Amino acid sequence: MASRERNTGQQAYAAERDRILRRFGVNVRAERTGWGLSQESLARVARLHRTEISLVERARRGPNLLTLLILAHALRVEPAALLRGLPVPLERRPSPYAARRRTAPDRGPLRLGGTILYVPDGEHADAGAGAVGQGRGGEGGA
Amino acid sequence: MEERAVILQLLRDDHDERWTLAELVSEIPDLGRRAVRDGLARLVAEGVAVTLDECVLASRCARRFDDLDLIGL
Repeated sequence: MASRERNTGQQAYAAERDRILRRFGVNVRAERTGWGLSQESLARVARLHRTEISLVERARRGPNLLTLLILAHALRVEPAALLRGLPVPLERRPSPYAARRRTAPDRGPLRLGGTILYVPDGEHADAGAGAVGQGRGGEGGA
Repeated sequence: MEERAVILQLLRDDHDERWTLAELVSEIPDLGRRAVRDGLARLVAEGVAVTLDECVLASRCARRFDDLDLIGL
């Protein structure tokens, strides 16, 4: 039950996060195309890489404050113009994309002295040893 | 800029976590093979990326930072 509620909350957060990033991406694209700029041109003016412009416009990544200011300056608009219409998230959670990715190769349980700090998913801690984390950095509980 | 462009590729969720140098170069062709290779070398030297056989991937630390939504542009 608690797990289902947690999943529902995560899905709602993911949807809200997606709406925010999409709206921001739409705003950036609208301002860019309004100036007749290509992604490459905007990247050059903003001294960012084209990949970063692309990721923002495709709502795959959000900008930090400095990048927001740089983009606004490059597009000759107030930062508020790029934030127009964005809903306000009520909380902060880990990235919803995290679960989609496979982890890097695991190298077995991580030990610190006699304590197992981390057990990769699918493996079991040694009997008698105290494991304080499991799977993705302890999210699975001991 | 090279390092930023490379690690953003390595953290993409629509690609296998392992990348070859050729794949990275083809995704960011404007940088050129040498710049991609140099940026990658710096990322590996600092532990942001790791090599595995003939491939490279984001380190677990980098992925966890990203999972925690701490990596913005």
